[in-house]
Amino acid sequence: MALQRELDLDLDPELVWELVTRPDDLAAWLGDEVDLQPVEGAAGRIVDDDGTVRRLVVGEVDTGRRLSWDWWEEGDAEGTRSRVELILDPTEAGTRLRVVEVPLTVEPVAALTPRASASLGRRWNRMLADLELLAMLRSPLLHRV
Amino acid sequence: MTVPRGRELDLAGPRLEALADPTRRALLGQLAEEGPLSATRLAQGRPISRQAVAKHLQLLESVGLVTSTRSGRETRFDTCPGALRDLAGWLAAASDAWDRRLDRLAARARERAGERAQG
Repeated sequence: MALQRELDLDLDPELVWELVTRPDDLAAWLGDEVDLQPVEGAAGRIVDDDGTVRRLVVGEVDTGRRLSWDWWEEGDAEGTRSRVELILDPTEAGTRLRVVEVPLTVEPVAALTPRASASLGRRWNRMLADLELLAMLRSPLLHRV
Repeated sequence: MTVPRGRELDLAGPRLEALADPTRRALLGQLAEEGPLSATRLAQGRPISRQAVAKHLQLLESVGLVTSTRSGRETRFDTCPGALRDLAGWLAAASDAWDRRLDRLAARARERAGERAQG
């Protein structure tokens, strides 16, 4: 159970692997500033496009096939920590890239404004589809807060 | 039973695991609409025993997704919306962030494919 995304690319896995590991390529999509070495145990740092700064530690590196890392917000000792996996599978047209992000810990949302809460409610549809939680798709879960 | 606030942080993974089971999601859905309800009431109309329902509820309670209150001889269960809200908040942010990243990655890949076609 996790957040999942799939992207079909018209590039061979070797080239997609470059996109997800070479510094100049990573900086073009993963965040505004990216320090991520595809080396198991390597520590790094990413500044997201919204300014969020994350620390990371690289987990598994299976060249051309799989890359994983754990990341968490900088200075956020007890905050949200999650594991990201990028999985490359060859297809006829090129490569299917799967992204899986699993929260290891989630920071409690202490005070959501009613407006923010309503906005979350509207977004349930897609989030739950992501998580195959369709059976639970009943907004009262959120609106009874 | 309520989960102490300090434990909240450790429960995201177990909560998602608990939600991976369709029966438990259906139980949560019913509690959200009609709760609080007893295990007996929740077992009605389901192809599983009251004991099996109780086991699912126990698991959901252990990860803080439902609470139970005793009233007389009956234990009634209800959802803990706050726990789901925390997960929903994380999911909303993480989903949006990956959509943006993968849009950029797709654009970069198209550039790369174009370069190769020309070169």
